[in-house]
Amino acid sequence: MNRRRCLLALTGGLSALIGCFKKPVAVTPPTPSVAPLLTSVVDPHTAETAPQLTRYPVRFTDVTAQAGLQWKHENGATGRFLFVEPNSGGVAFFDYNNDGLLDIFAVQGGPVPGATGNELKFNKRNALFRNNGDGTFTDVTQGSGLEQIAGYGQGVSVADYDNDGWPDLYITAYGGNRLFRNNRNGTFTDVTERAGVADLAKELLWPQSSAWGDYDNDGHLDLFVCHYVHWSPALDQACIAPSGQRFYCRPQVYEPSHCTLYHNNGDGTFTDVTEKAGLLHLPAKSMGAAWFDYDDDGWMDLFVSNDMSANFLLHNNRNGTFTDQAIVAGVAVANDGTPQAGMGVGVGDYGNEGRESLFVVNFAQQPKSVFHNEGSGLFTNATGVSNVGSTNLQFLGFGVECFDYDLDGWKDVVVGNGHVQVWKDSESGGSTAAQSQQLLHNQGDKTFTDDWRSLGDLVKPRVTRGLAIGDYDNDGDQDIVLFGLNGPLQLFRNDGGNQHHWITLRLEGVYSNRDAIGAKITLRAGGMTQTQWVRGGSSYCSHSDTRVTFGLRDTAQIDALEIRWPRDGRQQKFGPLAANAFYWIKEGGAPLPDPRSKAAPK
Amino acid sequence: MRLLVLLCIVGGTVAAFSLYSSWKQESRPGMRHYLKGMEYLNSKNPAAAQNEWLAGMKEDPASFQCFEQMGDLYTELKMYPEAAYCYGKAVKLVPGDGSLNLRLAKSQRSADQNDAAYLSAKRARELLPDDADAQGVYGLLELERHNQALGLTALHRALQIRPNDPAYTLALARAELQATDVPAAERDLAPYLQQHPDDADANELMAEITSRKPRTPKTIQATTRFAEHAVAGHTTREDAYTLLGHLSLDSGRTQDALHTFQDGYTRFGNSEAILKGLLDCYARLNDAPHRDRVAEVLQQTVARHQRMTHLRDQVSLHADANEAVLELAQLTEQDGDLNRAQFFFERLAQRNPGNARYQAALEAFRSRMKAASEQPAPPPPPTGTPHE
Repeated sequence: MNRRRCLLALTGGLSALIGCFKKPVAVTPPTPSVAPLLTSVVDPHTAETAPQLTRYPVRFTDVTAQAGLQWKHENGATGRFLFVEPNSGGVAFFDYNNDGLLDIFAVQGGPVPGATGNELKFNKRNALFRNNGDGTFTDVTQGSGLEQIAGYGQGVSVADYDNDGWPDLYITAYGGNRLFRNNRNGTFTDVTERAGVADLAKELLWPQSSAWGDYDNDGHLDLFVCHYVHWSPALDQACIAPSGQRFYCRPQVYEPSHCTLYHNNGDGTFTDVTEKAGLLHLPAKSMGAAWFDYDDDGWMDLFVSNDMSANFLLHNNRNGTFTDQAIVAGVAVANDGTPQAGMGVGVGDYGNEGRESLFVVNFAQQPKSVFHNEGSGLFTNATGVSNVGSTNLQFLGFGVECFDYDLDGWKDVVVGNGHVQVWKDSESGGSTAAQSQQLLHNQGDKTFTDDWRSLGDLVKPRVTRGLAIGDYDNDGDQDIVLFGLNGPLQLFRNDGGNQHHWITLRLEGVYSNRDAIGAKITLRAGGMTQTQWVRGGSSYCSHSDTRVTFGLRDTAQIDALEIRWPRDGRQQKFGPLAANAFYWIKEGGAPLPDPRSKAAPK
Repeated sequence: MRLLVLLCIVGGTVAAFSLYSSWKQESRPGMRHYLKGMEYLNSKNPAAAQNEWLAGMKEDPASFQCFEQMGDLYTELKMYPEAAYCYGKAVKLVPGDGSLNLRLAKSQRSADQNDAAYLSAKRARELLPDDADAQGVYGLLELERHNQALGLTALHRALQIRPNDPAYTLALARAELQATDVPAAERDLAPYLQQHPDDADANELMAEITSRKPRTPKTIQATTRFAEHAVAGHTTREDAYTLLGHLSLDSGRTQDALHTFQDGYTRFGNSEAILKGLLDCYARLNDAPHRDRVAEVLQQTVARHQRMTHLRDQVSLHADANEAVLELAQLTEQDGDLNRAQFFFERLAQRNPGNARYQAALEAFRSRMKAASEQPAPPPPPTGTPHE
């Protein structure tokens, strides 16, 4: 009897429960209103109609072994899942000895500070590889002064902060950043203390990416440093999955930090102007940063990606202060109004409209964000319309760069992927720790496709963090270097990109900062107008070649070239110029064949 | 003949024993209260029934019937922690009762006791392998524990037993979508949607699924159609408005988008997605006053939700994070989720009976609720008047 009552009660309970699931019935079946929508969505938004193009196959080939690049990252994982462990592995393409050949610097993680017992177990040495000009590299770290730093290495940025014509290095590290001045003889001197950029505040700071830009247009490059969450080994939280397995906590567990801005005083020293600039109270969980001039007013603004926290768009008020305009401008959060897990940042004019748009790579299951610059101080979230939103959500991106790998005149995107967790298959939601990299090919109509065919060896899974681009073999197309968690430093040569024509420019500031960071270059060739800027940092914890390469499609001549120099906005116009060449343009002077870089034969 | 006599004797003995057992059972105080309570319930006097069952629980804690009935009653009243307590007592007395284990799991899940709910659901599933709800609830809990494969298998099994169950079909398709398996999500939802074309939430989910496909005229058309159905059917999720609004924005139809988001705002005023949509519309319309007002609300909402997420993590990581619970309660109240805020305030007060500040916080919350119920005045929307 009781059993029957039980069953009756249960049935009643279940009926009630199922009743709860019943949904309101639509009263009137609506009529879809799609006709005008379709017309406008599928219309290409190209600024100019480009002529018909011959397509050539491109393939990225892993040339690590033949280049002699034997180097492995070590993140010093303790088994305690310390929150600092998944983030490390910055890499730089830069010409430290001014021989016109791109060299490579890789930041080592090593033992986690404060994680007792692992100090001797892990390699702490950074790596500097000199490009020999024949496709090979030599490890020249020993004696360079860059061998080791005290902290736990994270990222690197490169700039000629003292305008002496030689690139200097800034390494971010948990436990203290270091600035290395280039001694012009293959060695570097640690000038951190004198410069005042050790980045050790009273509170705990965990740096990530850093970026250089002359925000006050005084001709000296200033330094912005991203900081992630408020963390130390003592503050580390034990996050445990229901299965009992430890995992790396999500950033929401920790309190936010704040980023730092250093003003370059022009005498080899810097002043921390974070508070004065209005940045001290912005809650940061920052991973990537890029200086750019989104409103094209000649004053450098800054975009900062935050991990599960609203991004910053720091508008330069031209008086040494910044205002965060991210919410109003439309780049703070995703279309669903929630902050994404922003990692690396790529910047580029992917629509050839003369405006810099943003690519932010996010966590797995979150689409990469494409923020299209509308030119009125506003951005639209073009993740959906660009078709980037539907590309492989299982990937977790870190490094990202905007570049034209097939030199067809449209900026493409490369993304370096790799998860932070070491999941069991059943828990992964389709993700694995090691992942393929991605090439998003620009279709010329403001949409992208996942270009699997060109990936070549980039398809092989790895846990990428740092990603930089640069033409290491001076053959006109840009190559890729990757570094990441407990994986090898890997160089991928672009094979086939230079079937199209190209031009590469090295700008040298005289009145402006010597690297010409912030210079705007507009080029017209073959009926297309393209714009690029000299950049002082983007991607994740990495530094790409500061030379600027334009893809010219089937056009062998540049009709016109215009440069707006950063310090005073002075403009210079040149043309016509022959394609497939490296040019050196000194502020105020004419384009000359670059005496450092000679184009390699195709 | 002797055999017949023997059978009669045996039958008589069994009957007598059964009668005796029944008499003995019914003569227990727990059973007496239970039966009396059922009589009250049948005569539509639930208050008296409740008193009987409560008395039965007190006088005869070894009898499960009153616990079970009180569990059912508390469930109906949405008093899930209390329901879980009662079912828990009943299950201890009859651990092999699958339906009790299942009800216990459901009430524990509703009371945010997810670890306990998981164990109860696991046991219910073992006891009731052919019960759709036993499979389904277990599957949902496995998914919440990120055990994707186990969760999906259990939901598939639930739907084998009870094809096209709305809750499990939608949960299955959503889990597949979250795992980026768009084809599987579409495959599993499509038959249900064919049979239930007016299910607003199913339409909403299908809109999300089609929006994950590469954008073509066909997929845009599909997303639009499903989202419009979902909105017309008063979907319980704001995503339909967001999808529809952003498709309009992407195609330059800002006024249409604005109307969609304004509609959405009337139903989901606290949604960041709707606020973001409104912001995008006002920005494109160069309506700076409305844009700035919405931006301010969005910024506050995002910051509040981020802080709440941080606090929830602290609460789950540290059992003694009382200050985090207090702040969480206050922010949840600000967020407009009053039931949840009440849950946090009460939990804090219950766990810290000697803490005057926490008791005062609960009392103050109750006073505010009382005052609000006497003077219902919803806050003015930040959207202003629709733009024409």
